[in-house]
Amino acid sequence: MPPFDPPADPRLVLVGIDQKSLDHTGSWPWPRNIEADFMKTIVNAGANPHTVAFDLLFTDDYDKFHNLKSTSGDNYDELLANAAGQLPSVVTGALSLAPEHKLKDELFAESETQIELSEPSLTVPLPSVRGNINKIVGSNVAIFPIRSLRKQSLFGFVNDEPSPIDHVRHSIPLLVHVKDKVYPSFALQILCQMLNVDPDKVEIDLPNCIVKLKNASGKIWSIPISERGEFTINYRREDGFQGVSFITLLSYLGDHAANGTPLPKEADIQNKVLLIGQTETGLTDLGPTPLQSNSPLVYTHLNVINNVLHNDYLGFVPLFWVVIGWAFFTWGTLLSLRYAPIFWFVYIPMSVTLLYTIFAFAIFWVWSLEIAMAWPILSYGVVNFGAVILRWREEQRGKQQLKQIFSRMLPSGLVSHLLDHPENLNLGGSMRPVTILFSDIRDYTKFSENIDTAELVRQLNIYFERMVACVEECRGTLHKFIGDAVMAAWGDIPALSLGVEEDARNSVRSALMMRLKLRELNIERQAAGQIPLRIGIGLNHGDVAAAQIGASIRSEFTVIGDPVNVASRLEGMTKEFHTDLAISESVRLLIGDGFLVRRLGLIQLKGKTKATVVYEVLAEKTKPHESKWAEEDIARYEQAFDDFLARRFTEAEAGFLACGKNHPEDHCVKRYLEVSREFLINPPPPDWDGRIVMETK
Amino acid sequence: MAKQTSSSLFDWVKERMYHLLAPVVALGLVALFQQTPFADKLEYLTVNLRFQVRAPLRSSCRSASCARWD
Repeated sequence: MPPFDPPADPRLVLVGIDQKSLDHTGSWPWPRNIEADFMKTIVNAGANPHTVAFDLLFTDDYDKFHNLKSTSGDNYDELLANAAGQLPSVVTGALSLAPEHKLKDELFAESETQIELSEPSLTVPLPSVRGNINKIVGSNVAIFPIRSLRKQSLFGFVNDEPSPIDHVRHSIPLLVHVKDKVYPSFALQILCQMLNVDPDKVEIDLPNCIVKLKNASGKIWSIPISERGEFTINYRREDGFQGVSFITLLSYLGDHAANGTPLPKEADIQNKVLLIGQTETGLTDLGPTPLQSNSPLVYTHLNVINNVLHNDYLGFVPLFWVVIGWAFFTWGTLLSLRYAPIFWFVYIPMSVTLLYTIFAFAIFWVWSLEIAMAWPILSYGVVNFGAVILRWREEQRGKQQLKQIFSRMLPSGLVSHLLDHPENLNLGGSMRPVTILFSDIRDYTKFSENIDTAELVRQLNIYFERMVACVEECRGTLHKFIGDAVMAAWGDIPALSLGVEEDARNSVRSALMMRLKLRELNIERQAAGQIPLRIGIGLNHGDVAAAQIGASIRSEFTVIGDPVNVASRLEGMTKEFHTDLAISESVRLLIGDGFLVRRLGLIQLKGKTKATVVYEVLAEKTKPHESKWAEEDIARYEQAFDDFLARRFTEAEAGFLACGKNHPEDHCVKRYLEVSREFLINPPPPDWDGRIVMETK
Repeated sequence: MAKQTSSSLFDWVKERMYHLLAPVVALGLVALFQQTPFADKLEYLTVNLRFQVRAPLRSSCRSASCARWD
């Protein structure tokens, strides 16, 4: 359905007082003989316009108003009135004065108004008014065209105050009351002339907000107005009206009258309505309209007249239906999206808002229907924004609760990772470079056999609490408890990994922290009369499968692969070497020089064919006080160990002997010293490489 | 059975308290907001925009006599 977009009525002609006219006739205000000459020329040219309407005020004696005398000695006001009298229909402007514009001497002004109203005039008040006329725009004071002009022509009120809210003319009064009488506006007066409507056939129905015009043949025009008698203008494009410059038209008509020069199309004013008004920027009768910030206000009258001629009125969607529609969509959106993901909570309201905006613009375009936009969109947005906030808070709270619940069963880093990336919950996994930690309580059987089960669980939980805290603090992932053993990993969750080197260093820091915390725990245990605990920790690094492993109904996240077994074996061999922390060569290479480290031996773990150097970490270099070995002792030990592997058993014996002075109880020193002495007497076979083969796990 | 139904209805409402009440509260606030000049100003802004968007949408001047004003 094409939009209703009536063209500018061809009967309406805008005669503009533009710069060209001002250049030709002099600056504004003009002497009134110019308008008088204009009308006389029309008559002389036989142009026969239907109505000549001046959107101008001829409200006071020319001399008095402008303090000017006519140069020719003619009375310009008389000239103007006489010229108007020669045309069939002339309309000029009157103005109702709003309270703030009233003259200083209000009583005088009111009495002047009263006198003017009582004087003879072609314009008569509109007699048929239903409703309270005091609601109509107007006051007790008005200024009218000069007396002589009132007898020869009609007037209409040109009041067109802009909206106090945005200073734009959205509506103009179609009716104006002066004291207890109602007069037509300038536009309504012109319409009455165009449509051949007598004043007594203008019915004003204020309660129903309608003005009815009825012509002699019975045709009726119903014009919607507000209770104040205002008409809301349905502005169309201003360049649609036929327009001609005042001076151009005067010139064409003058030539036609004098020489019979044919009139061009733009000067063809036969049976047309001429609206003469200021169009030049800088003159007074300009102001903002919805279409332009500074529009000639004669266009507002033209638009009003054109709206009525074409039944082109602005319609308004009743508030009731807007509220119903708003409530339907708001509740619909909120309730249907109650448990939807936040994305939909944003996407759907935005789409609804966009569609509503398109709808509002579309019905305005097609049917000139206005529907409230600001409050429905704003309130809909605010309410939905509140729902988004609520949903977001619920999701955060839910995640927190899930995290709390699952953190007891799963590595906490993993819980956070899975809450952020639930797609990773799928079974399966990937190969990752991971450092694995195994720790185990030494002589667990001895520890557990003398206490009852409840007490055992209590003590184990205290122990696990301390150990797990060390893993957590060093960004490790606690994987599982296997009896009294703890398994943790670093680098298995990409989101938590700080890179393989830093992950390895963190794993060693965690192991050192576990050692320290165990010492503190043992002090507490001994104070409580409990036997101290000893642990062994093994650390290994390698590529493992980090995966969610299990069945669809129950699965767990873990790491599997040979490096995991090696870590476990390393933990097991700490028993053999009477130490509590052993790391593999791969871990040693990754941790760099930040730790005090010594070699425990070249070890062939059970089930392996290849021997590997196993190290003991004594402390972090920044905390040397935590190490039982001074750096120079470690250097001496390392030299002795090199001699031992190089079959220099005499030097090895001397080295280990020197180490034994400071560390007489050290198992490795005693062991390698003893072996060195034995090899001095019975040298090992030629293929001996110093390896120790582990027979147990 | 009836008790169970009323209880589940109560839960349903409780879970949607904001979603049910927010529009009502919003309408109340809108009624207050509409009394302010700012509301009118905002609405006029959209009205003016609609006029401005519509004006150029008229494909051509369909009146033979509508010569452009200059």
